[in-house]
Amino acid sequence: MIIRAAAHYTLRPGSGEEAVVPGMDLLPKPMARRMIAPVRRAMACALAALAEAGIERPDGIFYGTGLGCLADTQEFLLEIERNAGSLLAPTSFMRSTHNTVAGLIALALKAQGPNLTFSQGFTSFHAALLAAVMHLERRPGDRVLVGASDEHLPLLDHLFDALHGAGFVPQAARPAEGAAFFVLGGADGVAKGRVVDVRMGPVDRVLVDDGIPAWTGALVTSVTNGASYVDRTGLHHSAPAVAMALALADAVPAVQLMDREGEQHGLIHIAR
Amino acid sequence: MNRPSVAITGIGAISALGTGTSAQLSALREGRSGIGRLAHLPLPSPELWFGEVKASNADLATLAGVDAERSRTVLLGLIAAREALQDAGFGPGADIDLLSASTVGGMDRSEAFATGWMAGGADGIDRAVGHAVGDHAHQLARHLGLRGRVTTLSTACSSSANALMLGAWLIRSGRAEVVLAGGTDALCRFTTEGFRALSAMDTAPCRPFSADRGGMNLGEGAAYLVLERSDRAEARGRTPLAWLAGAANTNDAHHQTATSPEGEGPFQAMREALADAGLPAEQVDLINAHGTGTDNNDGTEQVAMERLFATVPPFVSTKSATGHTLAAAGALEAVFSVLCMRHDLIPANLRFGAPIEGLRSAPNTAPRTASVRTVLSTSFGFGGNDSALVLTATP
Repeated sequence: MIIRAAAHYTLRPGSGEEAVVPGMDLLPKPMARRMIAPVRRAMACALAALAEAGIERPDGIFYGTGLGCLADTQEFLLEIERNAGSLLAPTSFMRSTHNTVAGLIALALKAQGPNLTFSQGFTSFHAALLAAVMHLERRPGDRVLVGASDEHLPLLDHLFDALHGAGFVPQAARPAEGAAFFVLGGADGVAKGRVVDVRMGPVDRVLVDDGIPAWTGALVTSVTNGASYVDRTGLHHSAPAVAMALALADAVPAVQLMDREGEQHGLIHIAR
Repeated sequence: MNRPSVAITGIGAISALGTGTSAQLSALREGRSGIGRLAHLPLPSPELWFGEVKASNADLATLAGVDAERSRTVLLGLIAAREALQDAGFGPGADIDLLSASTVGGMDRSEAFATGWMAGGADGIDRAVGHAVGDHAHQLARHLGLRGRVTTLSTACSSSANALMLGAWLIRSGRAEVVLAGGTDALCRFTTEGFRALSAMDTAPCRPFSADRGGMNLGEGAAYLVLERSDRAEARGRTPLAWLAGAANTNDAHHQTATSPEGEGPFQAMREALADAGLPAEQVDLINAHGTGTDNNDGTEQVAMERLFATVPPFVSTKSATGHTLAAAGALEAVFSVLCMRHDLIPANLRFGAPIEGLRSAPNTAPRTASVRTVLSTSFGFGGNDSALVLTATP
């Protein structure tokens, strides 16, 4: 499957770095005003990828997120705690579903094709990409938007520290925010690369004997020679999507990205 | 094009109607409602009506064969998923993909964590570990010994219908031979208070498709179906229960939480699912409608049905018996569709009053016997997400 365009950003709270988010000028103004910041940034990324591919309206939207709309989820949980028994404001509840970002993109672009959201930790993006590939196999003329995004919350820092202390997280790591979106499909025009294969499953089902070298197993988005992208992607569940964008930007001839979520492994093989 | 047929070789379900598919069938046959006041869950809405599964977490844990220190979403999911696998004749360690669906995941435990956190502590941090909506799918795969792909669809109320569609895509594309697809959602404060804040809840038992409908009743439950490549089911001597002949997902692109007046997204989803199945609309014997009981949903859904069908076939919202089980609804209603085909049943849309003004059709109000060979089942959700499945009695 041809990859026609890619856009990404990462935001590492506390790093002192400014996040460079592509496409912020493309956001529909009235809609953007009502969005919280991380959703605005993710949507800007999606619009930047579509603009690069010269597409107004994708034929399908395939999206992954590990933790969904965390800020709105937290806000509504706290709203319940604060105002139990009285009538609550529904805004944060309406925006808390995992498919909010994919739904808002469809709404902004009037994109009426398939609109699917997947959530499986660090392998959320893999499922979105696999679904996009299957859609394009069925409808080869289509051009679809594929991507992933995850938010950062101060609460996550606190939780990561506590989970690390309790042995749930194997490494001391600072959670981050990030997103990456791609336009896939079509046969004509300029391509950035192609998706050779997307695999998911237990490690022995993902690493079958077909020339892909053994994997040395870092926590997040490592290429098969053991090097990790995590320093550049930041630690969040959409890091595999950001790593795919980085690999395309680095113009590497071919790369196999490995991730895992519990027993579930994901492999993305892309080539120029 | 010659593509593999997707057989359904096992089903499992738990809902307010009972535990197991035979309990669902008896309730549907008798036109019995599972809607009532809460008996097991301490939710802060005593004035509302719910489709609660009549069991405590401890009861469910015993049924599921695990300890109760996990989300109710996981417990419900394990019970329904295990029934589906056993029904299809699969034991642990099987090379089966799991496409699950949920909207709340471990939210019940996140709420318990939030309460402590608001009180100034972070005790019970382990309760926050299962917050990620996908976590329930890992737990299911682990306890059921599934060795395949594991992922979670989370597209609000159409989630498990989309899991079934993706299962069909995996099988038809040759990537999988057997897929366990479905969804699970437990009642919790987050969704109860959320839909209450949206004024989407009826203060009486819900009346889908009635002119005087007043909103939904939330329900809970889980349902899973084993999807299997037809020839593979045949090779291991299984007679399919039914077939998943077609599926489609579209987006209404009208509003974050409401459907367009002309029901464009639902209309396109139904039309495309029938096209995917290669069947004309006249062949549909029964529509298992989304029918939440809200003003917006039922009106626009019925408009979409009347646009698609010259004569609308018998249609029902079984949510009048189960409540709206959110991410479980698409799979639960797919299980009902299979039961209706196997047992020649048109179930009831309970508590129907008068037809919606300006519309010419009305739902089926009492259970009756009729040959059901093709069912169209719809599920719509937040984010303009619209899905339709076509289930058939023959390939």
